Amino acid sequence: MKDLVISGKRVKTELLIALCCFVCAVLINIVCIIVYHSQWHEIFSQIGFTVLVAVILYVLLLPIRLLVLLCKKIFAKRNK
Amino acid sequence: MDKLLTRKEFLSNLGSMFAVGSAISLFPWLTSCTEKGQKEIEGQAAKLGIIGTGSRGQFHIANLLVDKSARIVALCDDYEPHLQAAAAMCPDAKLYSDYHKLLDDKDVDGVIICTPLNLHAPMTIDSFRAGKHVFCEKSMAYSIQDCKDVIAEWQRSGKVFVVGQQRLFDPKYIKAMELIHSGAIGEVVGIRNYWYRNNDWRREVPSPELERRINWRLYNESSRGLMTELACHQLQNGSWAMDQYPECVTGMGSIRFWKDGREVFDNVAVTYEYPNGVHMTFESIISNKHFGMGEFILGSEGTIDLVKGIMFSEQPAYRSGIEQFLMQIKQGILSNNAFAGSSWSQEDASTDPGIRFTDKIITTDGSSSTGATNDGSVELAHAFCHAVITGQQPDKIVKEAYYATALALLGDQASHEKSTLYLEESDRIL
Repeated sequence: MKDLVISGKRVKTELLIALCCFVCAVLINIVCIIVYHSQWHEIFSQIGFTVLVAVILYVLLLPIRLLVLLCKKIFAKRNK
Repeated sequence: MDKLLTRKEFLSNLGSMFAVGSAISLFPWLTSCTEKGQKEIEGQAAKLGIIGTGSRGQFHIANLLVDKSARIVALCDDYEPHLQAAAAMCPDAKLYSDYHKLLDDKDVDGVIICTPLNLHAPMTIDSFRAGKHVFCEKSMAYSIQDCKDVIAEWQRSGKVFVVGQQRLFDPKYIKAMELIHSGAIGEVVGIRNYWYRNNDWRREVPSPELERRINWRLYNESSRGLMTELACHQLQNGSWAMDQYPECVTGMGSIRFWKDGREVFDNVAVTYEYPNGVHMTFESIISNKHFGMGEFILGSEGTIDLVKGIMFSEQPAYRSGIEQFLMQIKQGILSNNAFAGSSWSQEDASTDPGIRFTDKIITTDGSSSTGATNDGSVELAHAFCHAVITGQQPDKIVKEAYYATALALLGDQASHEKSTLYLEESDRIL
């Protein structure tokens, strides 16, 4: 079986995307606190839900990223 | 002990909601849906005639064609296109244009009547006199006196009688009523019903002389309008939840928008009062659909949304903002307009997303004039087949249907007279 090699650049990119998702999730949490008139300490106490939202966002991004990748490849092929 | 069947989603839903035996003791008209009830009619089929093969008739035919306990042997309609459309669905059925001839047919055990409202009573009475079991679409009849005549003839005949109050077979309503009767929302303090649409309620008419026959819902001679076509279903919720019937009703109605020659109101607002002071409202407008269909039982400790199958507490447990957000996404009610957005006012509506009390819930927006799927209609028709085969009258259905119709008719009269009318003692016949 062939070894899979994940480049450092790929790891960096994925970590960056995950971080962006987490920041978005924190922002969502803040918006929810404002909309639902809940308490500000939920920024920290609801970290579990925040992580969950981050994971959902990350997963939702996957098909979009795949689509972008596919389009890029098609264009690259055409330009050759 | 009876065991609920699992072959239908209805039954699996129901099975997950109740201890099996208690479902039948609380709701005995569901016997036909139990394994025992199913065994009673194994290998047998009720031979049915359909009188009135328009949209609702065809809706029932489509459902009955996949029910092994039903065999459609005869069809009747005096409007040829409807009869032919139904004949295409069941090619082996005998065709009649006169319902008296169908009633003379010895092959027919029971009839399903899906005709304009003014024909319900004469056709039902004739059917009982011909020795047939009857499933009549709601509302039961055009007037309270007609209803009484139907009931009297049914009692004389000893035959089975079922009326199209399908909410009695809808799992979310059944579960809701069980919760209400167990005190889950405290004392019932109000009942709120509304049904909004934005369409003219008209059917296409191939030639002008057919206008009153095809669009029978729009004319006083054959219809009592929104009250008998829509309110009849929702008014039943109040009686079912309260275990009693209102004393009086006041209401108003008008033709505000659809001034196209129709005679029935295009908007009504009526209020019923129960002996204990509880009020039940019904409002319908068919030129604005913003609020859709809604049915709420309001209790001192909570509220039940019957249409969505959600229970809201008056003092909901604290949930964090993000938790509420995720719950709203899960329940798909982000667009629910029953609750206002955020506000600093203490009188603002609750933003509690509530608790969904049934699994795999199927909701309807109330926009269909023919019939929604999974609203209990299939099970009601099946219950009729079971009753025809066994000769056992399903409990409660006639009583609920009678009062739902009587209240709808009284509400219609009140809104025409703009007065307060009382449900007389002489009208409390069941």
